[in-house]
Amino acid sequence: MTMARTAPAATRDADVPDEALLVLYANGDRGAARLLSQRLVPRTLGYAARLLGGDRAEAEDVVQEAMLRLWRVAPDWRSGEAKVSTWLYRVVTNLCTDRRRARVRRADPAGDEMPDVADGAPGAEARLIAADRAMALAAALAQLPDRQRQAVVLRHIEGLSNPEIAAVLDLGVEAVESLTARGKRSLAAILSGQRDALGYSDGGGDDG
Amino acid sequence: MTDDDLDDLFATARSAAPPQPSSALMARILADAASEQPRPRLVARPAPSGFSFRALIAALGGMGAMAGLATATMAGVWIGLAPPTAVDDLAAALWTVKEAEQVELFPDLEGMIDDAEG
Repeated sequence: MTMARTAPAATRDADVPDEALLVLYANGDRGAARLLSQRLVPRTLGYAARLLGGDRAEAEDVVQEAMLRLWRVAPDWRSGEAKVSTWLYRVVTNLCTDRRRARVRRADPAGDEMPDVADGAPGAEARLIAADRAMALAAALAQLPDRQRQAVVLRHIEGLSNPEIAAVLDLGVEAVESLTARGKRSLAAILSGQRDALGYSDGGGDDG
Repeated sequence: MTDDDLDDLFATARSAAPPQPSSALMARILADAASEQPRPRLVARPAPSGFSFRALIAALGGMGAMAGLATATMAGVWIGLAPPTAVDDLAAALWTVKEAEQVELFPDLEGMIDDAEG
């Protein structure tokens, strides 16, 4: 409670943990929502875009929805139960899974929805130009099963620890380890044909 | 594709700046935040009101009870002003003090005190 009085949200932003900002927000602080959004939205947007195969518009919808749920849960937030970012990753993960399922269902009966799916992916021209590593990685990630993709992205791109990923995906730590290992193997297999194109022909990845 | 290659790919992806959310998206999110933000609740304190007939009537049981009370009051006033003979006789009977027989419950107090002193 003293937090509300002693931490003016505008000044020491970096010091204030996410959770405190959420409490400030619930207490009626107007700046807290902005700070919290500036911290959380870019990360979750990148994550959502990866899970959704690069569909930026859909990722934005997902993040907005996830943040809305965060605002709604704020008054009942119990401190110490979960990290705000972990909670948000979890909501985003579930929303993305739902969207992908819905997309598959939509696309199934009528083929005319298929261009919609490819919309977020680069077009034919862009695909030629953007034969860079990030694109290749995104394309390869898109081919993984949902759970593997989520685990790999959280571990190797978002940089979460295995226990955190376990909390996000609602799995045990061992299951997470096995998911990331399988995910990496699948990625290696998918990308094996592009090794030369990606500049990994000889010495492998130099830090250049 | 070796593990190192993959790690390098991941590092590239990590180092890429996270996508900057469009200002439209931030505006939508902040609008949501504003509309969902709990308002500080004001606890209404009962106004220190003066005497109020309405409150008095409510305390006595509402208008129905007031009608009964008014009737009883007027009946009392009427009986006081113009008492029927039956009431007169009753009052006389109640108010007449008869000579009561006096019973000595205590022995003579003065004698006792005298004894104590003497």
